[in-house]
Amino acid sequence: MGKIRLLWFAYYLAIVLMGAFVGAFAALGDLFSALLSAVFGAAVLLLLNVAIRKEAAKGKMVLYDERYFRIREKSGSLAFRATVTLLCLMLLSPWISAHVLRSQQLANIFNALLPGTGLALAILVLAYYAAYVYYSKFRGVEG
Amino acid sequence: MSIRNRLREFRARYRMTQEELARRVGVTRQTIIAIESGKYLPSLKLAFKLAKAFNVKIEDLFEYREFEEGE
Repeated sequence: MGKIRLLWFAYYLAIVLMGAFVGAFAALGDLFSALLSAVFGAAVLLLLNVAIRKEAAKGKMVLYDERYFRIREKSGSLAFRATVTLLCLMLLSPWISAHVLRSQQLANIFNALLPGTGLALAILVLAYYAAYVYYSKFRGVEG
Repeated sequence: MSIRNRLREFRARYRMTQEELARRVGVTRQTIIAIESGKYLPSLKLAFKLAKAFNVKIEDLFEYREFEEGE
């Protein structure tokens, strides 16, 4: 039980570190290092996942059950809708600011944000985790 | 409409921990906690497994109420 908790901690730490390294390298414009960090991070995550599954099998412990899959499904759906809504708002904002509010500065800011597909991914991941916490802690779910 | 369960009561009667019950029906302890607190409504399959764990009928464990009190 103690070992599996440690492995879970390492797993989440690896996700955070991988995100930090990929984000930092991408921000510096070093795409090769960002890609390398992503590949290395994915390999570490895969290995940790295998170790967690093995440890759980040893102790005949259930890692994922119907509630987990139900919450994951609902969170994924909510996160997708939230991301699409935000992206639509981001796409509409420059047009609104340029034509309705007539603020070129605002339009430029939103235009600069537009090519950020990485930003969309970050929103999706954040929305997913927010939805996961929401469904598992505050909202009733049906199986 | 609501579905209430007597899982905590049956577990206490059988002196079973949440961990033991979770292992017996093949779910995580968090799921048992969520069912007991009414935050998770289990699937029919899991409801049958839970009833079987206590050797009772499913309707002994789960109670369907058309209207809440005060509704």
